[in-house]
Amino acid sequence: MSTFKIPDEAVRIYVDRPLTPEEKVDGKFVQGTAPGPDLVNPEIVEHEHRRDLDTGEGIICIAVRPGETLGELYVNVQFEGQIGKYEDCMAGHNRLLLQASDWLRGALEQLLPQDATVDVELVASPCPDAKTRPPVENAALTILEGRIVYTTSTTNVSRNVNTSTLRNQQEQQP
Amino acid sequence: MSSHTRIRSRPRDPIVHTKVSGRTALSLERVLGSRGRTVLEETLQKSKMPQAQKWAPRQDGQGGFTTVVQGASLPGELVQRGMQRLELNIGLSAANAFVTHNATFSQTQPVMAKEVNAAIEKIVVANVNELLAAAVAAQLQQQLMNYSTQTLDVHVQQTNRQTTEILARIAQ
Repeated sequence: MSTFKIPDEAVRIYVDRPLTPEEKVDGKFVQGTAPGPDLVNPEIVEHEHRRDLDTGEGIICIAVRPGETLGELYVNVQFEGQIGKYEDCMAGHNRLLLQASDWLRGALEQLLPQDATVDVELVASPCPDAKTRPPVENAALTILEGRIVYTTSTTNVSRNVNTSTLRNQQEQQP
Repeated sequence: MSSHTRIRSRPRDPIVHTKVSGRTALSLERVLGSRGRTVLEETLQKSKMPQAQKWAPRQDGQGGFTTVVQGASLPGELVQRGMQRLELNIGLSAANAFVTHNATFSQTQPVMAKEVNAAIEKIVVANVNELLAAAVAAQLQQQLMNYSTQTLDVHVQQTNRQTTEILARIAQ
C-alpha cells in the first residue's frame, strides 16, 4: 500500500500583487513569484500563436524536468486559449491540470514500488484577469489518490499565465 | 572538578591521483518498482536520448548504459582540481544502480576520493532522474493523444534546460 502525504504548505497559489481580503482568508495564496524552475513556455503565450484559435481551442504545453535529488521530478501544465477569453482560458487550464494530475498518478503507479512514499508540492500561477481559482488541492489529491473532483469555487486571482507546476519527489532510502 | 575534552575521530580519506577507477552502488528500491524498470527500458529503447543508443540488456538481467561527462558538464569543483573526463558505466536493476567510473585528471595534485564519489553520485542521480522524467513524459504524451475529441499537432521537444516539452493544440 502506497503512503501519500501533502503537507499544508505544499499547495500554494502565487500572485504578483497584494492579496485581496478573500485571498488572505483562503490561506493558500502567496504574494510573489512562484519558486522553483521556470518551466513556462513563453512562445505559446504569444498572441501570434493564439490569434486563429476557435472557441474552446487551446495551445498546451506539458513540461517535464528532472530534479536534483533522487526521484525528484517537476511537471508543468500550461494552457493558452483565445486572446481576451480569460474565463475560458482558465477553465481550460483547470480541466487540463486535473486531467494531467490523473495521468501523472497513473505514470507514477507504473514506475514506483507499491510501498513508495510520494511527496507532492503543487504551485499555481493563474491568469491575471480570470476570477476562477485553480483547483490546486484537488489536483494534488488526484495525483495521490486518483480521484478527480471538479471545483466551481471562484475568487479574484492575478498573474501572468495559466500555469501550474507539480513537483514530485519520491523519498530516498535512508 | 572536571575537564571535558571533545575528540572527533577523523576517518582517513583515500587519496586518488591522475587516473581513478571505482565502483559504487545507489539504492533505487524506494524509487523504482519492478514494473518501473520495464517501463524505463521501454522508454530508453524508444526514446532519442543519447543513453538509449548505448542501452544494452545484459546476461544478468540488468540493463545498462555508458555516459561520458566532460568539459562544462563536469562538476565545477572537480574541474578546479584537474578532472578532465569522467566515464560512467551505469547498470540499472529494479533495486539498484551499479556504477563503475573511470576519471581522468590533468594534474597530479591529490584529490580526495570522497569528493569524486560525491560528484559521481550527483551525476548518477541526475541520469536516473532523467530516465524517470523521460518515462513520465512518454506516458503523459500517450495520454495526451487521447485527451480531447480533437487533439491536434502533438509534438515533443527537448529544450536546452533538460526539459521535455509536450506541445499540442486541442479543442474541447
